[in-house]
Amino acid sequence: MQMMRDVDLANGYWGAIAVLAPMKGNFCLVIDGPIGCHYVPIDSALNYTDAIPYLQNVFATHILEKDVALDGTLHKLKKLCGELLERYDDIFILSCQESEIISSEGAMLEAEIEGRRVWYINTASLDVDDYQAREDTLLYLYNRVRPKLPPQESIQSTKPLVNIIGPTFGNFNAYADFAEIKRIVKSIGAEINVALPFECSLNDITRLDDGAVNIVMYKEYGEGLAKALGKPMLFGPIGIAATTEFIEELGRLLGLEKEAQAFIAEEKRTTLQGFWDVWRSPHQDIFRTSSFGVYTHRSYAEGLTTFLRDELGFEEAISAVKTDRWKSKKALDIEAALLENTPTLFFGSINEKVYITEHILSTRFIPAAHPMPIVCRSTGTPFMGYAGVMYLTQIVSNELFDILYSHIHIEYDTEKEKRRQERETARKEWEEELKGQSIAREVKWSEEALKHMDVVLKRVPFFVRVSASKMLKVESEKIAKEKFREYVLPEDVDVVFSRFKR
Amino acid sequence: MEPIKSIKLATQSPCPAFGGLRILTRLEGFLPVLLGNHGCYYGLNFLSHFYAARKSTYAPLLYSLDFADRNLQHKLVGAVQEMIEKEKPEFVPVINLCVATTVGLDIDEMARQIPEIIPLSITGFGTRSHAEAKDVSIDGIFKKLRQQGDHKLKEPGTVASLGEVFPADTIAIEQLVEKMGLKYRANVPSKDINDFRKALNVSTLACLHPFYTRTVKQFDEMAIATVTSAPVGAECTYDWIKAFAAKANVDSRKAEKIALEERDAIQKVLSGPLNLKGYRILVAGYEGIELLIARLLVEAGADVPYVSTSIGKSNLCEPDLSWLKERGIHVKFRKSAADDLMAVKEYKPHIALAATDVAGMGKELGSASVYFTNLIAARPTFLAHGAENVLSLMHRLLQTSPSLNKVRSFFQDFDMPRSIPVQDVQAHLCPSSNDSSCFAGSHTHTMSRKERE
Repeated sequence: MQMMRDVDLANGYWGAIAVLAPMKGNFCLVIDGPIGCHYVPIDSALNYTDAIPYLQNVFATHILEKDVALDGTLHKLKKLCGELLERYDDIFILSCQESEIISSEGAMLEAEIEGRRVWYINTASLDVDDYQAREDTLLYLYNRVRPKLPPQESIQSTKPLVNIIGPTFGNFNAYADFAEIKRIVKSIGAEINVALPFECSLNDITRLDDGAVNIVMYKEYGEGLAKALGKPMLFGPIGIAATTEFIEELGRLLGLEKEAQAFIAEEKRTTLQGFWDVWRSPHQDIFRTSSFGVYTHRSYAEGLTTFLRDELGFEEAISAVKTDRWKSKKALDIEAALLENTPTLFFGSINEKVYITEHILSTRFIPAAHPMPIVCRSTGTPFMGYAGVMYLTQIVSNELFDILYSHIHIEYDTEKEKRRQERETARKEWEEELKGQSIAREVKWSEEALKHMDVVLKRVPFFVRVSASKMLKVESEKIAKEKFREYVLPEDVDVVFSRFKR
Repeated sequence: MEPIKSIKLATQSPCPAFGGLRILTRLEGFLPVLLGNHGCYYGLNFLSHFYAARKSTYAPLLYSLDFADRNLQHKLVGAVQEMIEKEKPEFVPVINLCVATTVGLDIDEMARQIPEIIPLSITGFGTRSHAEAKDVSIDGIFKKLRQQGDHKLKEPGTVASLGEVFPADTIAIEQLVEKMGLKYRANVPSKDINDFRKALNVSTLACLHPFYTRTVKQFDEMAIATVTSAPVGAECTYDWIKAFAAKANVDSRKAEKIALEERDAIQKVLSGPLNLKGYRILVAGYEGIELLIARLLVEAGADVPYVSTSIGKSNLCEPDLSWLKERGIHVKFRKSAADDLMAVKEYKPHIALAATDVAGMGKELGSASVYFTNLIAARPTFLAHGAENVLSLMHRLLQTSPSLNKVRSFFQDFDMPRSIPVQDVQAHLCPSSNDSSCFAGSHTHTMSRKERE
């Protein structure tokens, strides 16, 4: 049996909540489980990651020990549903790992309350991960729920209709990516039919078949529903080439080729102009001599790797998909990879940030996956589309310049007085030397320390090695002098190196 | 919308296992292992990184098939052993979560096989609040240390304190007991296991929070005197110092002198310009220290009609509970979110100290609400310094009310998703239907989301 560190994929009912809860409409969710199963995803994770406070359309049975051991949970579920039926048209009951292991009979309720739309979803929490559950829940909505909902009239429009599948809760940066995809769709003259689940009402899913094309934003989930819908499908693009291909293909599928071409041309003059200016500037020279690591969900891992490596010229140090660690034992051990080939920039989740900190690596961390305590609601931070190209360029560029800046000499305020006295002493010593009253006291480098300096310098990004080596030399010698040693030791170098992260 | 009545438990109390991790991940040399399901791991890992310490948690990936496996127990022991060989932790708290408890994984047996293991059973359906899970964890740690014989170095005239209090508060306790001629040894929980060892060998323990029922029982077994409550507020501080001195065999005249000094110093703050006369404050939290905070606020002149907590009632809550009851204050143990929501609506407080969702609702209703844990539990509350601190915070909150209400009224004419309906807020703020002067926008602009669509 394998012990996993910092498990970073949740399970079935988390995925079901992420898909169901964001939809509008007069319905509610019931989690059939103990208190933690309600609190952790609803009140904590979403509150601290997407900044969504307390979803009031989510309830829980809060089963207790006696329910587990003796009474079962059905009576609680019944009582709660009884109250909820007075308020909501539809109720989704979600199983969680605990109700599954005690084989709760919740499914019986679905049949019992006749004439009302009560859905019992076995989320298979014990066996299925978050993303698989998102996929399954989307399909469940289409196959099981849609036929029983009151059909909605089709959207009357002269423009071709497009479905967007994918922006869900607890999905890193989904708000911003969604905004960018919508912008692209509208800019080439198409209309959004159903945006599932962020901008649709539960009843809107009866209109899913009206869409001519389905855009599946994330490769992690949504593809199953798109296949069931049977229409052409496109994935959310990251990078210039992928975005261009996406727009052209969308235009072709909708009969809007000209509009798509015109939009691309217009984007080069507007959104992408900022990218072009950075690309031909010295910024790009720094990109080409720096490295990156990425460990995120599939769409971001693949998209970021292609964009940073093939379009900005970064060296790829680590590129791995989170779900792989989950599914196979061959997958990358992220901590070992970080130590083996330490990248300048790293895109990941809070877990990797912890590893980087634990090992005092000089790598700069950029949030790109959940779990992460972060507010993720701005729509101006897309990774996808042309706006994503510009945003990503901007964050890597600014991060790299911040690294450069942290290697430039600074006189630490707290040490000013001490330094002044040192200079005074050094001047006196030098004067005495000149007068022949004393012999120069120089600090030498031990072979070990010199070797260590080489090792440390390799951890410093290429573009700052000159300033870094200067600082390492001068400051390490100062430390040795302060301690009245004639030789610089490897640990002196480390002390100076640790300041580089400020 | 009225809260759902069927939900009797406090939705504001996190998954109890989080309370355990809060103690265990902060301890250096500890490597917690969770036994449950990946849904639990994901959330608890995130929460413990965020709130407790940035330390890895370990967990075996268990699917339904694994739970049916007769050799599961054996395999888990192997996996833990392997992990210990690699990471070399001093202690491995193994936490049985709901699912593992339900299938009957025997962690006590594991602990007999591997000495590093501290077996802890913390479930969402059994442990009633995350505060009480802290008690379970600390109790487990002490048990382990006693098994190892770490309680045999008794030192007379020494004191330890128990409770997650602000660092400045432990310094205050230290100075106070030293004035009484005692030696202060440690506060637990801390990040150093040796502090726990020290605590096992003192003569008096100050139990600063009222949910450590199991832990206190252990100290009773070892014949270490425990004092409950804490020096918060004037009267309470006086009583606490006297009670403490009696348990620790301090000369009573000396104790009386110190108690009076401290009481007067606090009273000066309470009746000074920071007093809270004319303000109504509602106190709803989850760890039991609400009782103390409520006492302090009442002494400062505030009208505190309602105090609630997620923990259960125990004799550790006395005498704070009786003090509050004598003054006709409604105290609710094992409260639910519904209780707090109803209280906010009923009492219309100037300030609601509450858990996240209730505080959020309070903000929508125009009271200067704050999240109890982040704002109150994260600052000094003991003695005069603590009183000054808490009262200043209340005034700061009251001062910010107008600016917050500006933003609130901007959103008032629209039924924001998942908030209190506009009509309810209006009824709350302007009980008389003719009086609409308290709103920034006029009623004609009020339109619910549905109408607009």
